[in-house]
Amino acid sequence: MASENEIIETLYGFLARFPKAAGKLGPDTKLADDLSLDSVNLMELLVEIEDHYDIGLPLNMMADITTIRELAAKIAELVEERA
Amino acid sequence: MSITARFAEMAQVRDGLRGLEADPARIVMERFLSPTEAMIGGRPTILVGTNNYLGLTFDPEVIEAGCAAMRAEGSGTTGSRMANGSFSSHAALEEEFARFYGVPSAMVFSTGYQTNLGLLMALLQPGDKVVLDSHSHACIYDGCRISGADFFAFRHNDAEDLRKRLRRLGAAAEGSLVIAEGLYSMWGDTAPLADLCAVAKEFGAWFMVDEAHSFAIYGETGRGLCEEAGILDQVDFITGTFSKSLASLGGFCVSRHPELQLLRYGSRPYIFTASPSPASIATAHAALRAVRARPELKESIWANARRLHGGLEGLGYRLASGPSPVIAVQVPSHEEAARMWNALLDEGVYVNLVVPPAAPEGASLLRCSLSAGHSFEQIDRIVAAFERVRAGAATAVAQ
Repeated sequence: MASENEIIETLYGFLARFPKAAGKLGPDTKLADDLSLDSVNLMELLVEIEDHYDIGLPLNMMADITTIRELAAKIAELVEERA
Repeated sequence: MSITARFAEMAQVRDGLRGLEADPARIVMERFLSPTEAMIGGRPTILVGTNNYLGLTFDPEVIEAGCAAMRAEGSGTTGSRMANGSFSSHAALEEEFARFYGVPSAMVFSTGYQTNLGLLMALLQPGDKVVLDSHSHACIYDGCRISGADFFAFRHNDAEDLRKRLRRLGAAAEGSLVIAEGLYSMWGDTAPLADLCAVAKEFGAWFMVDEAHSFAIYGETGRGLCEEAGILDQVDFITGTFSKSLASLGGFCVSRHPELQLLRYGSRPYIFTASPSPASIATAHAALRAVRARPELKESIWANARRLHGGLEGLGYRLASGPSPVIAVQVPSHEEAARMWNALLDEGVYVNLVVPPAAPEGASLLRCSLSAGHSFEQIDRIVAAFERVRAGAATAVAQ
């Protein structure tokens, strides 16, 4: 099972395509404020993450998630539930 | 943190559009010359971005119905149906929609936005599961978000992707809600409704379709893409708006389930807002009669759609979809889209400028919406304007 740190590294890969990600990616990077991800970017990102980990990530959950670390923790939780 | 922090975000959006010298908020239609032409900036301008699909906003019968309703019932309802009571015209229009669709239940709402919000907020509660098309309109996302339900997106128009996401829900897929639209308003593409409906039913999910842009345009009798797909007897909820083909203001929901009527007791956007005005109801009702009695309106908009699509395609423009009442020209950058949008206005043609995140997948679009009220001569002028705009461009968008 992927650790939270491994998930964070995987997320860096997903986020690298966004223009503002260059040189900014860290566990405490804020998805909206630091990377300027809008609602459409976030939705597309979640769909890809869902497929990668074979989990369901509710879009409404994003209201409580600000940073990459928080997203990784949620993914880890859902992966564990699935297992 | 002050509540005024959001002002800065909104000012940034405004300044971004102003930086492009393309702020749609500055467009004022000073005087209407017809359903498809208005004075903008002192210049006669062809309107090809107003969703006036059947061109009924100046139809004499529609106008007279609105005027007669104002004289008989007044200018406003001054409150909610649950508080003030219903007007007989509200009930008559609901009965007409139910008859048209052959279903036991219909409800009208005060706007199209509130229709989806009203349905979803009443149906759903925390813990419920929703799987919606990723290109869904903001009112669908907002309705899901406010309801507290868990909602997931499936890849646009991809029935297999929907199946994958429903499978991931496990036992919770049964009794969940799947949402799609008929015609998607930005790209102008249509949903594979029969396939999506079959997948939803395979998992025991409910199926809802928003026909805001497809009602009166698709289906043998104009009942939308659900009729064309042959799923009217399977889809659970169909929503639509009065503010496009029906040339008015408001929205409707029909359902094969009589329980739809219960929403009157639990839908906050229905209960806590003023009911549609007599003129809104009467004009929508008259337009609905026109949809049923004048199939030539549908034929006209399709002829215009095919002519514009063919003309733009002939110029080499990249179009987001095949011919439909919405034709979206894809433009490589939002700066170029803004330049072309302004140049088209100078040519006397008004289209919609759509820049991220308003359009899906980071696209910049010049969105045209056709009308049965356009003449072929107007369509040809629109195509000619697109040709001149392209010819004058430093960076051509043609493929």
